[in-house]
Amino acid sequence: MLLAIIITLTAAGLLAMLASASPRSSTDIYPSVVGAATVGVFTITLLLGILGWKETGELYGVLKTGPVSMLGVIILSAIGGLVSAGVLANPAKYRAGPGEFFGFVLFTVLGGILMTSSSNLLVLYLGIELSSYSTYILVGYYRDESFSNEAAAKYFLLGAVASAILLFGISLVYYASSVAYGGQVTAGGLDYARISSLVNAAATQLNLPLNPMMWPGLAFILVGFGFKLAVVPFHSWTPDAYQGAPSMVAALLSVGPKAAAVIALTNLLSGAFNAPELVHAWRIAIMWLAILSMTVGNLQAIGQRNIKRLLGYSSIAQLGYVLIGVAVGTAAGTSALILYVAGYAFTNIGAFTVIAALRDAGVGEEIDDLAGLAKRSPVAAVLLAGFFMSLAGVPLLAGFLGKLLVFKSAIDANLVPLVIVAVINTVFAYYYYFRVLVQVFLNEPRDATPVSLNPTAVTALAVALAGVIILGVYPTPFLNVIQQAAQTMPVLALR
Amino acid sequence: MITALLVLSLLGALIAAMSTDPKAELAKRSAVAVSLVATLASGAMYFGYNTVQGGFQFVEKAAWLPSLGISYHVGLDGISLPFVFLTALLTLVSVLASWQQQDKSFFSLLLVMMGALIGVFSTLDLILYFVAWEIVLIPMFFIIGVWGYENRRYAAIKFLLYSLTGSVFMLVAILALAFQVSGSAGIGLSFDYETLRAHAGVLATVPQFAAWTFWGFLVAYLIKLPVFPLHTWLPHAHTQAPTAGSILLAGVLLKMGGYSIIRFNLGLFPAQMHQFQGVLAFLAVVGIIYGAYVAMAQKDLKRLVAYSSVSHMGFVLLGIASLTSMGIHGAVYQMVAHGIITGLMFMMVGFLANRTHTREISAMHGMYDAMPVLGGLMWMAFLGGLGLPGLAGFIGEFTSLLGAVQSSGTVWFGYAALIGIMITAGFILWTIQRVLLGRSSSEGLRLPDLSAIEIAAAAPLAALAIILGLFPPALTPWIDSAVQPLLTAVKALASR
Repeated sequence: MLLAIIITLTAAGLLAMLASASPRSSTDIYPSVVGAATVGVFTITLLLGILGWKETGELYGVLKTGPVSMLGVIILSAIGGLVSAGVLANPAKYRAGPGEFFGFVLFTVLGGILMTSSSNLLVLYLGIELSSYSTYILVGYYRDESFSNEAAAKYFLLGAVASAILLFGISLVYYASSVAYGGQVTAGGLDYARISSLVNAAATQLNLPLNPMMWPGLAFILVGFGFKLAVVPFHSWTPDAYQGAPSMVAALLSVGPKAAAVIALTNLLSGAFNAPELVHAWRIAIMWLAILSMTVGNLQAIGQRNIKRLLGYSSIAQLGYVLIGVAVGTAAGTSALILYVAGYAFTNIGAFTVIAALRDAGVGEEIDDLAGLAKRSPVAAVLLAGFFMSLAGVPLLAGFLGKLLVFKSAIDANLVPLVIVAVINTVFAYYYYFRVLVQVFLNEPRDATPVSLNPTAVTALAVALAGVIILGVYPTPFLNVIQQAAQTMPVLALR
Repeated sequence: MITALLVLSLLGALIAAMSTDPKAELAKRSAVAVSLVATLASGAMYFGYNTVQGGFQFVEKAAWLPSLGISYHVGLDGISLPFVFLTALLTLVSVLASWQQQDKSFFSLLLVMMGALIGVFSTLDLILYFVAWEIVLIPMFFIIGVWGYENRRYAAIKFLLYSLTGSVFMLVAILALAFQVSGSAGIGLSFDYETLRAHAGVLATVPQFAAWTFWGFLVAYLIKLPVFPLHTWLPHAHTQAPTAGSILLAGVLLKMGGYSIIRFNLGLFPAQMHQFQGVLAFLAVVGIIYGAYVAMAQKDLKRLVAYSSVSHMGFVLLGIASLTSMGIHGAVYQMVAHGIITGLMFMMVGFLANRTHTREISAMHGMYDAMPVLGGLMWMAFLGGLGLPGLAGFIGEFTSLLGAVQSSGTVWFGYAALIGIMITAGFILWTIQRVLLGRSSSEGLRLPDLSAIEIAAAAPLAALAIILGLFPPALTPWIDSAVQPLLTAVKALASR
């Protein structure tokens, strides 16, 4: 089933690209057709993901199919579908006419699916690069705008450096996992399971000390992931990229590659680096990344004037909460972080789509521009309130449940100080999310002209908000599914 | 029955939010209808409660997130029933007191808040309780921030952040407690209050942990109550909120703190309650005296009433800290009485400010002369706040103090609190003199007295203040039925 999904997405992506060469590509209806087809493709892959749920197996020895990869498919397809639907609301604005735009969205999702299913470092790298390159182009999609160009340049340069570091780390791990014993050298591995078995065998059966090059290897891999996840101190590209990118691209960027990367990271760390001393090391590293991300992200977000920059910093902070789940590493932690990421994806896409739709309707992207929005467009105000409250973590919305589960798993794993830092951070977060809502609901509008949102956007938003509310109020079925999936992962023992 | 109440509030809120008429007549009507039905239904539950049998009644239970040990579990006992009734009644009264309001969202939010408040007092699952606790913040944030006075935005944000700071610590404490109890007692993870309470004995083996968790819960409640030095959100929120907001804030939201201390801190951590008795009593006395002193210095009438609440809530904490049945009984009585009397006080101050367009004490005089009905009710409310015998506040304050001096741990704090009573008498009488007494100016005489609907809003509160002042058996058996079982655990500790 995974193969079918990969083929579908590849074919659809290529077709969308080729379609741009068609002579009819400049007609008005054309972009909408390609967009609708893209949404259709994502619906198909989502259904395939659900159908392939029970399947477990391997693909060419480098991709693992199973509940986790199918969850990745489902989440990423939903993300792709919602983003495409958001773009569909105003395709002309994204110059999506030639169809490339949707092609790159398809490839971003494909790269994400490869990342989540990978069981081999090189395929993981391949997936990361596929999704990264697609997003580099998407960020700079407003070719004539200097902001967009600047954002793309920054994002690309830092991203390329991060990829190089990641690759270097992979090569070091390959070297460090090789075993030299009694005049014989066993080659290292790129396969997660092989790395793990080589390292563990060397330590337990041969009593060899850990190869010291493993440390820089692991560190470089974490740095590479740190850039992709945009966690502090590797976050500096994020606010600029979000501000300069088209809003829907920022939406995709803030959830798609990140959701994939975080699931891939959990897979990698618990699959390949599960020797006790390594676990101890990466757990501490991830904890510090989490603490820094939450704190710096939230504190920086407080002073922002541009709503997209605010969401940029907020996403840095949100990833900090997610990393708590990675640091926990147990089945409970993993299922918590998957649910968190799923809820966050719906919420953040929703928030960005509202902003994109408002921009199309002539409202600016400064927070001050949103003053009195409740009087100008009650629908937009309510939608925005729903998504921002979910981001803040108001109960009965998806964001709260994700936080609750993450904190719960962390307390269960005796990481109480981490949880204390996290809950203090939620107070800061409340402040800046509600500061936006204060503008929307409590302040007087500067100009009182009513604003009306594009109906397509409202439909996509209603779906996203429904997802946020359902995940928050009655998550039991999803929770069961996610817990089943987490059970199949090579998880760490508690404590 | 409880579920029906919760659904009814949300349904009413939905109807109010969906209504389209520009003057919000439908919203207003649905708010009155829903809160009236809720008042009658909770009144029926109140009198239907079997005080001899005690315990939780009207219990409803259903699975919600079974894999996490979280369930939908609601029920009421003798200390939550009065507050559910108070919530419904004060919501009804607030709607009547805001009859000029023409914004449908205002009424919708009031009903959401009523539902959430009933949830806080009736939920018996800690996560569900936390959810309700948090949801209360949102409508109140908007009610203060949208319909408040001049400095409303600052007050709304401050209210939100203070409350939230407390509740996040409570959340950590809830999670830690559930894990510890389920781990030590060898049962599955459960957030159910009754399960946790049944197994709370295992906390004796981990006193350090229990103390931290105890304070995790307590911080949230001390902020809400509020207790010096965590009270600074209150003067802003109470002063800036519209009348309905002030009534509900003072009448019910503060009680969430006192109720929760009794329910959770005393119910789950009797040993720690005993251990920190002195600290709590000290904080209570500081609050009583400090609140009264600061109230005396206020120039703004609403702010004065707000600070008087800080002082009055000190008696609640003092009563609880005494750990005697008399003291805790007094604390609950005081909370109910304060809800009624301060609700009435804020209502009258609100009506007065609407007419005079100022809240400055120095700008008002001879108001009794100008508006005898408003002035008379205000007079009564202020005397109730002073603790005049014959009104509900007296019994609450008296029994709390009596409890405090009965307990060897808090006896000196009890005597110290008497100073607060004197200061309270001072500032209340002085306020009555400044605002109500004297000849009114000719301008003042043109002010209209209370309208029929405003009298209807005030009447139930005035009547209850007198009934509870003269006839304590209307409330005492209910409180006793819930307090006695709580105290058996404490008594066992004390005799050890």
